[in-house]
Amino acid sequence: MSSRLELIGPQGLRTDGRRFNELRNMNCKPSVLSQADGSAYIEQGNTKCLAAVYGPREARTKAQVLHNRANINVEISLAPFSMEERKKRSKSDKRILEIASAVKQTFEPIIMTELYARSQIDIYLQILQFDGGTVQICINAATLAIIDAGIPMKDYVCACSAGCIDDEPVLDLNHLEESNTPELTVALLPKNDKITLLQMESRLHIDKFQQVMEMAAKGCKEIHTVLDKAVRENIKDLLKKSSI
Amino acid sequence: MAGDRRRIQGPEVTVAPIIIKSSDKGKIQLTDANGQRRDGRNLEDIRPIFLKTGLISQANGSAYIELRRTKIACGVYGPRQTKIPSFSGKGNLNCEIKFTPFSCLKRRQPYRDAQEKELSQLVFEALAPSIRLDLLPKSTIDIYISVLENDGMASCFAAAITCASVAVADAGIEMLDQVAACSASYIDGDIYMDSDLVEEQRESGSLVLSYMPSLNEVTHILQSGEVEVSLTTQAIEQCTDTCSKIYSVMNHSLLESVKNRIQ
Amino acid sequence: MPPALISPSENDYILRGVDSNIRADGRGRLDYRQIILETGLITQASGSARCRLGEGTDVLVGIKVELGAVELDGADEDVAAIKAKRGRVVCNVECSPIASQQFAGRGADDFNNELTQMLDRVLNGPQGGLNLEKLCIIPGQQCWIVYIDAIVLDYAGNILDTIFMATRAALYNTKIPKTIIQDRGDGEIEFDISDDEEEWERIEGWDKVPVAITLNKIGSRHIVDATPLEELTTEAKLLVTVNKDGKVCGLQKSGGGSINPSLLNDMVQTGRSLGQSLIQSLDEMLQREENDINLKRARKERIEKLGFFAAI
Repeated sequence: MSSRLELIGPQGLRTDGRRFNELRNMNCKPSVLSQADGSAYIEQGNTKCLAAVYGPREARTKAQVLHNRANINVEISLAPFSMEERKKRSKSDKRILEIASAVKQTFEPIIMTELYARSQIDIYLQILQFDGGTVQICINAATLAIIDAGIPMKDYVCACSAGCIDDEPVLDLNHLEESNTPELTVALLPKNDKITLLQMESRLHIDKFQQVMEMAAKGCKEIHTVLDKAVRENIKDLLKKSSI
Repeated sequence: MAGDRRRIQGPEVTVAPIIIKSSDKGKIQLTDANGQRRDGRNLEDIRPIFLKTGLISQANGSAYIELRRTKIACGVYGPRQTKIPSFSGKGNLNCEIKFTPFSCLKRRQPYRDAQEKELSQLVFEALAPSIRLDLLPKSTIDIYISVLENDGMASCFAAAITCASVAVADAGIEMLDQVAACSASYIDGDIYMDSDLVEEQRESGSLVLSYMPSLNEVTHILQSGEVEVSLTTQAIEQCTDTCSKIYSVMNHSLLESVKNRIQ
Repeated sequence: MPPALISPSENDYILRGVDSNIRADGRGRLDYRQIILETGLITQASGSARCRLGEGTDVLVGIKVELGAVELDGADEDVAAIKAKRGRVVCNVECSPIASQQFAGRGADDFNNELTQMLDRVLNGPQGGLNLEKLCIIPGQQCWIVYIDAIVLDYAGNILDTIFMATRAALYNTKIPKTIIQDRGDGEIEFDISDDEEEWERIEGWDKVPVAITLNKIGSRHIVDATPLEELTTEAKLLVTVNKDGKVCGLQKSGGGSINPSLLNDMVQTGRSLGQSLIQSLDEMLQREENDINLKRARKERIEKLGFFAAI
C-alpha cells in the first residue's frame, strides 16, 4: 500500500502500544442483565459487546421447530453511535446478517442441542462500541452468555483474529489494522485444539498462512484463560452469596 | 449520462434557481385591534363544524367532518372476524390514519410514515375507552381515517378523533359515550382554541384533549411545548367546555342520519 | 406492548396494595427505585450515559454531534428564517432484543417508533431546553446536528423515565467541538474544526432539558415508576415532562383507559413536583461524579469507568 500508515512503529510497537503478539486489554463479566436467562459483557480493547441468551424456550413459529434438536437463533445489532460516523443500521443489513449466520454455524455443533428437541435458543448480541473484531467478540460474548444460561456445551468457543503487517504475523487486530491488512479470524475449542470457524476475506500469501493461523490459535488459548477465570469467579461469587 | 447522444444534454454547470421572495406582507398579525382573529373569531371560539354521516356506502359506518379548511373522512368496518386465529376475550380495535399526499403544504409520501403510525396509535388510545370492546370477542373493528386537507396538525388530529367517534356510532357499535376532541394553542401567554396552520406556526405549545362529556372522563391528552401549569389547567377547562359544545353537534348529526334512514 | 399475562388475583393484589399505599416491593406510591447514573462510557461518542433503575430497567444513551445542513423549509418566511439559524436534534430509540424476548425481530418496531416520537416531541424545539441557536455554524448552511440514540438494554418497567434521565446525563457529558469561522470575503464562509479537545465546550442548555415522570393510574390512585406487573394492571398512563423551572414541557396520555379531569389536574401537579425533585437529585449525582473525576485527575489516579462492571 502506498499509504504509509505506520502500523508498526520503529520500536516494534503498534498504533495502540502493543507488541505483535499481544492481545488487546480484555475484560469480561457474566450475569449482567436481569431479564435474560444468561448474559455477558465483554470488552476487548475499545470494542464493547453485550450478549443475552434466552432459552431453551418453546419455539415461536411452527416453521422453525426441529423434531430432534433445538433451533438456534442469532441476532446482532450495532448501536448507531458505535462507529466513528453515526449511522443507523437496519436489522437486515447484509453484513450483519452474515456475521450472525457465522456465529450460528459456529455454535450449532457445540451446543448440545439434542437434549432440547423442539425448543429454541435465542442469542442476542448488541455491539455498543466498535473498534474491529466483530466476529471474534460476538463469539466470545456468546460463549460466556451461554455458559451463564446453563445451557450445556461441549467446550468453550474462543475466537481471535490475526493478521500480517510487513510480513510479520500480528495478533488481535483493531479497526485501523483490520482495514489495511489481511485478517484471519479463528474460533477454537481449547480442550482438543479443534477449529470451528476460519474466516478470511482478504488476500494472504500461502507461505504466511500457517504462521498467522498458529498465532491466532495461540491468541484463542489466551482468551480461553481469561473467559474461564471470569466464569469461575462468577460462580465463586454466587456460592458465597447463596451460602449466607 | 456523458455518452448518451440521443438526448439533448443540458449544460454541465448547474445553478440553483433563484426563488423570488413574495412581496413583503410584513409579519402576519394573528389578532386585530378588537382581539378578533383573522377570520373574525374570538380566542375561545372554534371553527364552525360541518359533520355528516353515511358518506361511504360500503362501510358499516362513516362520517365526514369539515372545520372550514380541514376536511377529514372516516370509514368504519366492523365488527368482523379477526384474521388471527388466537382467541381474545375483548374485541380488537385497529385504527389507521392517512394523510393524502395533497393534504399538507409539502407533499406527503403515499406510504405510512412514522408520524402517521404514531397518530394512529394515539387515535386508538383516545377511542378505546369509549367503545364496548368486551361485548365483541374474537372480532375486529377497523377505523380508517383519511385526511383530505390539513389546516393545522393539532386541530386535524382532534377533528379525526371526533369524526371517528361519530363513524363508530353510525356503524351501530355499542359505545359508552361519544368522544369529542378539540385543540388549543399557547401563543404569547394566550390560549387560542382550534388554531389553523398560520397560528400553529407561531405557537409555543399546543394541547389536544379528547373528552367523554356524559361520563366526565378525559380519554386522551397530548400537550407539547413549555407551559406554565396554571395555563395548562385553564386550557384543560376551556377544552372540556368546548368538547361539550362539539358533543351537541355530533349528536345532532347522528339524529339527522337516523331520521333520514327511517324516512 | 408486552402481551404478557396477569392473573385476576395478581391484579387484585396490586390494586388493593396501591390503594393502601403499599406496593409489592415495599415502596410507597410515589417512590422511585434506586437510580444509578454513569456518564462517559462510550469513548467514540461525543457524549454518553447509562441509567439503571434498581435492578431492572437499563438504558444507554449515546450522543454524536455531526456536521449537517440546516433545515431550510417552513410554512412561511419568518419561520424559515428562524429555522435557518438553528442546529437540529434527531432522536432515535431502539429496544434491543436483549431487553426482552418480545423485542426480537420486528417485534420492537412499533414500540421503538412510539418512544422515538415521544422523545422527539419533547426534545425537538425550544421546550427541549437546548440552545439550538448556538449549534448553528453558518446561518442558512451548516450546523451541528445532535443525534441522540437511546438503546434499551434491560426492561423492567418505566422505560420512558429512564430514557429521559439518561438523555439528560448524556447531554451533560456532551462536548461540542469548537469551530473557527473564516470569512473569505466573497460571500463564501469557511470554517475549521479545532482538534484540541480541551477547547470543546459543553453543550449549552443541558440543564434545561426536561425529565419525564410517568404516572400510572391504578384503580383511583396513581403511582410512579411501575414494575412490569404494575404496568399490566394500569388502566391509563400519563407522561408529564417537567423542566428545572417547574414548567410543563409535555403531557401525553397513553393506554386504553380514561381519566377524570380533576384527577388529571392532580396527576399533573404531582408529576410537576416529583419532576423538580428528581432533577435536583440527578444534578447532584452528576455533580458528585464530576467532582470524583476531578479529584482523581488531580491525584493522577486512573479514572475507571465501571460501566457494566458495577456490582449488581
